[in-house]
Amino acid sequence: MFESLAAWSADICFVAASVLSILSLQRGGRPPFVYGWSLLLAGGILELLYMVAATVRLGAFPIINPWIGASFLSFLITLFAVLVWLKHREPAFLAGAAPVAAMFAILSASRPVTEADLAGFAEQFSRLQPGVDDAGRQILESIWFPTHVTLALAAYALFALAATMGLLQLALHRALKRKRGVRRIQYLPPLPVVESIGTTSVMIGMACLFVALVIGAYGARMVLQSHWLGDPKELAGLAILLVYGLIEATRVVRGWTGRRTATAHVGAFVMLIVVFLGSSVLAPKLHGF
Amino acid sequence: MDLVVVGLNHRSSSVSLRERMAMEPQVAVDFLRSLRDGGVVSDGMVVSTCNRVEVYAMSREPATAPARIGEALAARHGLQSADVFPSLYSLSGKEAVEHLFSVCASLDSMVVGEPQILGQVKEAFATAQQAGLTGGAFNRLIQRGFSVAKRVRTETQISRLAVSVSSVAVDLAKKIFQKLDQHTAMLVGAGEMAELAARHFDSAGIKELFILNRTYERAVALAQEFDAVAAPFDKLHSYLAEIDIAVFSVGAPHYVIRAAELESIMVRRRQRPLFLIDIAVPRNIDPACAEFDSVFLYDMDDLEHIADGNKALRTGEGDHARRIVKEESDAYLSWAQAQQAFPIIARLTMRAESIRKAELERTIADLNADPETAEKLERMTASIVRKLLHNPIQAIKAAQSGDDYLVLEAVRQAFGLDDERADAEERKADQAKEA
Repeated sequence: MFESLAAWSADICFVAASVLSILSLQRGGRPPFVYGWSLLLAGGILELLYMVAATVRLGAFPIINPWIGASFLSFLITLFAVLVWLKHREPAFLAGAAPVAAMFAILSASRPVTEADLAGFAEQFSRLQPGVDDAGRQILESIWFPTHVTLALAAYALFALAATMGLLQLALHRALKRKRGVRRIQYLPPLPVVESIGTTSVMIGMACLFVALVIGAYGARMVLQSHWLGDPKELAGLAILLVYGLIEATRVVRGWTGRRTATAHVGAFVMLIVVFLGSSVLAPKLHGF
Repeated sequence: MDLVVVGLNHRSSSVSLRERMAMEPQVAVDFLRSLRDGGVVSDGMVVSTCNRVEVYAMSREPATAPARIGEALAARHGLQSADVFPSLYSLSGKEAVEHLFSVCASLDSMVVGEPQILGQVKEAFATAQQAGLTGGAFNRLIQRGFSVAKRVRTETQISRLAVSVSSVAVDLAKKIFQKLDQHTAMLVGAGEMAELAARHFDSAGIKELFILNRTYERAVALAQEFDAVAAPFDKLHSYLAEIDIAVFSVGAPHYVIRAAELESIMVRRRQRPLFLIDIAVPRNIDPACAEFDSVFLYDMDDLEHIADGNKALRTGEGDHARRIVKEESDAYLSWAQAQQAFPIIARLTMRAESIRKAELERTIADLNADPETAEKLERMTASIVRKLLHNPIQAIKAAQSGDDYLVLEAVRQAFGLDDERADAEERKADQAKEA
């Protein structure tokens, strides 16, 4: 009951924050931004409470399916957005973070994690290791599994942040080129600010994803006696790393910056969502989380 | 005691009258002293700028004080009252407080949102304060005006929206490059418009300024004025490949920069953003140059369009700011009324208590009363005083919440609770603290 209440309340907060952020950019004024940030923060705290409650109820690390993974993502996006806001004090970051956090929060609230999910998760690993009865339990109780999942989702959240910065950058670039949208020009953060946040987010995100892949491979070796299981999500993770690596390489080597990098960050994140949902829902195999 | 405002501004008077009525700080101090010595006001300050001359003062007689201040103003400048009075406005009480807050928040300025007025009010206040012309209540009111201005600045965009073409250009440059102290600018042409642009970019803290002109000597002369670097006009393309912002104002019948030329320049720049401002008529830059992704090209019409948009936004933000001013002035007046009522209740109670105690001691001594009788007399007199004061105290509280100054004044006079001495002591204490 509490979990559902927390999850749906978080959704309401995120959606309201998104509406306020769009209103702020259209109609101006500081109060909508202030209320919007408060709602975003409230949504993030509610998502955290939801996950803590799920952990207590299950008695294990709860991120074992994509739905609760989405909940953790919306929490992390909020956290990173607040950290960025604390550094740059640009109210319009809300317009980037709130809608993405709302999208993942709604996805999460639609299907809460259950005891049956936990049993199924443990069972699929136990099936892979017939000699070891509690392979699934070993994974859930290990250190490497929560570290692997947390780092991978932190990487996704940072890529989401880069994409939202890309959208803000594109919006300001368009307004400056068209020489219209006075209010938008006034409220959106300067181009170098969003570009620098986007690039930094991608760099840190790539490092997190790389470490997550290494830790995942190490854990698989420990429990399943193989570094590489050929799982769709392993391939997807590697592909995502390569795509972002390519974007960074063109930026450093060929000097691609501005609108091209912003578009690439948005495009790469759309690809990430497709891969994230595709490999988790359509072809889950070992990575139904 | 009420705030009164008497003055004239850009809406109510001509420039020539404002020029004649303007007051230097020392003249303003002498003027206020004469008003105080004449018993017209107790505290005050004079705000004298090119757009307004206003006397802000605390007076016990808000109904008659404005006319006396107006006459004194006219006399001070050797003018007839009849010449000045049609242009003068006078406000008191709530209207005066709202006006003060509006002036501090730059809502009453010619260019709404301009930041100078707050500094000018602060200077006027500091001058009056140093001359010992301000007291406790007046100080608190003016300080409140400063905090209202801060709130308006924080909660609205009123002072952030550029409304002149040059400041719009600087604002756009900040959106494209963020920190101008890490970027360079170039002026192509050294005319009057270029000089104005140079002044704006210079005050915005541009890292380095280059000036190119067909007459090299003119470029050198302007460069010396702004600590800039003069360069020959034929180096235009080389400089365009290096700098970040370029302002064109060359009198030429054809384009000085064409799209084909800019294409090769952008390759040399590795597509780094370039902000081109074309303020020449006819235009110096081929409009096709705007097609390049990293080129932001603005001509005079574009800048004026944004300035007009900002003016409209300021109007909208002004409504929000006026709501803040109204809210703050209401809050201040409620607080001020409470401050006015509580000392009256305290003084009334203290006065009754001192009379009771004196009479009680005399009676106990006359009767040579034993302790038991003395205690009974103590209780009885305390009860009488409490019951007698109950209705007046209720009336004071009701008058306080109902804006009824007359009742408060009537109570003060009926019970002989003149608070001038207390005010004087308070002012003395404030001045000692500030010193």
